[in-house]
Amino acid sequence: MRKHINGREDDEMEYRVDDRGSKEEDRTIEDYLSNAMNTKVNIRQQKMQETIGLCIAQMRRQETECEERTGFWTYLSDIFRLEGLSIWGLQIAVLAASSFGIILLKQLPAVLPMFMPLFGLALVPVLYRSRVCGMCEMEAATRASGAEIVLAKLILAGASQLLCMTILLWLKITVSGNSDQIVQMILYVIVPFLVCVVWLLRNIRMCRTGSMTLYISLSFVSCGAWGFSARVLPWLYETSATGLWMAGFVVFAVFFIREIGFIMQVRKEGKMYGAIS
Amino acid sequence: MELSVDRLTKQYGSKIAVDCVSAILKPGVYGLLGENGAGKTTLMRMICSILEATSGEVLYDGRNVTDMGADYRNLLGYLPQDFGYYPDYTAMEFLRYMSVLKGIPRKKALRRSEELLEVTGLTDVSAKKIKTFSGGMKQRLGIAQALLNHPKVLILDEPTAGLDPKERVRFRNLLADYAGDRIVLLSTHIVSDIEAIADYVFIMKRGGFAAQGTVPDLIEQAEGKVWELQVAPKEVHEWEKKATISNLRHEDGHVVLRIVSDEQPSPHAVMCHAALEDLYLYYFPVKEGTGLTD
Repeated sequence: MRKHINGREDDEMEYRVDDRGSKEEDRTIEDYLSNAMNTKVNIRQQKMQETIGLCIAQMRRQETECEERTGFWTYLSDIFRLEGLSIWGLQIAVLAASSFGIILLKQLPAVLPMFMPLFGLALVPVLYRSRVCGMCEMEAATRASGAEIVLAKLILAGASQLLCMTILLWLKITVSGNSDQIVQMILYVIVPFLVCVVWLLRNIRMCRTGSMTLYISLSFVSCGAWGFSARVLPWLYETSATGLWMAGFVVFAVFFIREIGFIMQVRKEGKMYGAIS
Repeated sequence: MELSVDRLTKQYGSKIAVDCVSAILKPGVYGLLGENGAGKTTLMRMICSILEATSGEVLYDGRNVTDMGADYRNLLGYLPQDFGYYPDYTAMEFLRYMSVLKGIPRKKALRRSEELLEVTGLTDVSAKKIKTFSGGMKQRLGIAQALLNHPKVLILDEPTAGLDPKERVRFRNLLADYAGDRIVLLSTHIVSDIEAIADYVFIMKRGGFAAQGTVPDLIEQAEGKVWELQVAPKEVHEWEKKATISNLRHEDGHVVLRIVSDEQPSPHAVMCHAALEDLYLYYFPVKEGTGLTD
């Protein structure tokens, strides 16, 4: 025969106690208490079962209840505190190098895209750090998972990149003395950058061996290619080519959003992203 | 609390790394023994849900761990076999970083990091950069990070590698204290570690479990297969070629060989009590002339 005992604090939980075993245990407890207190003890069955129920409920809660955990925004602020300096430092270093180039080079705004792959390149130490240092497996087994780690770093790096690119555009306008082609200039900044970042995120997602070295090499090649295009394809930087740049922006923005959407989806599902998967 | 491994398989192309492995783990210390390439690390990665299984599943209290996602990883502590560190971090910064990834609130993380540095004997070097640490210190720091979130399921892949004997004893004691109501699965090549701390042992061979049981049960399996034979020093090389020698010692100008064999290797051989190491050698015999296990 079995009977059900409901825990006082958690009415939904039901625990089964074997009646026969329970009676034997009661006798043992009764004897133990009688010996300990040197007096006859009468156990009230109802009270006893209630206590057992409470103990079981408490033990169950300890097994399944998880400790308090921080949310994503606290996590992001912690990552900023620990890694923010290196993430922002790298972007600012690229900004300094690009600003120097803009001041030196005369072919503005056509040379602007040439510096953009460098901003993508500055993401490599940030996003590949765990893989290079052999930390990715350890990190992947934490609550945060690969997707959340990449997402947090992208948010922090993205914020610094937006700031750096704004400063770069302001600098260009200041150097050239006019802001007539502001829309084109924004496109010259955004499109080459999106190309690089989409490529980088895809590389991380696909987990290809040697992808980091390949990405670094091709980033430098693309810097050269954009610089070369400013010289040999001047029509590409005329107002009439804005449609082409717009089309490039739309295409790569879609790819970028898709990659970010994928990371968010993986994060939500708690699956692995990047190096380990 | 129960962790079930149900027909777990991992295949890389035509190579099967883990072959339809099943087990039920309840609170206690479980040892995983096996030679290199037996599939221990792959199995542990799948249990940690950082590697997707080709087929089969891992269940925590009846729930698929992949579906549980972050909820499962909240309960998990993992020390991988080969791991590195961010070299510019100090020990304390590293534990703080891991606490952030594990979602432990700041104050609690600081307190736990201090406690674990104390337990692992790293308090004095907590402000030093990890790149200045010895292998053993790094290993201890790895163990500390695995324990940060008070995991219910603790998976340790070769945790005693690089630890000196004193550190190994310290680690065993730490684990024995810790394991009470938790599931601890550890793999190691050091049979004596498993013998000292594991409640239940799995011997893994070619992706499957070749044997499993409590240490006394497994030793029982090896009884009758271990022999001692006294030979002349010049005969040792010949015996090494034709039998699995688990130990040899010099005694009064002779050499006493401890041989693992199903049959009496020589009429002069005397049967002796087995140890877990003998059983290990029984399943992974030494290849002829190489000194390497099969």
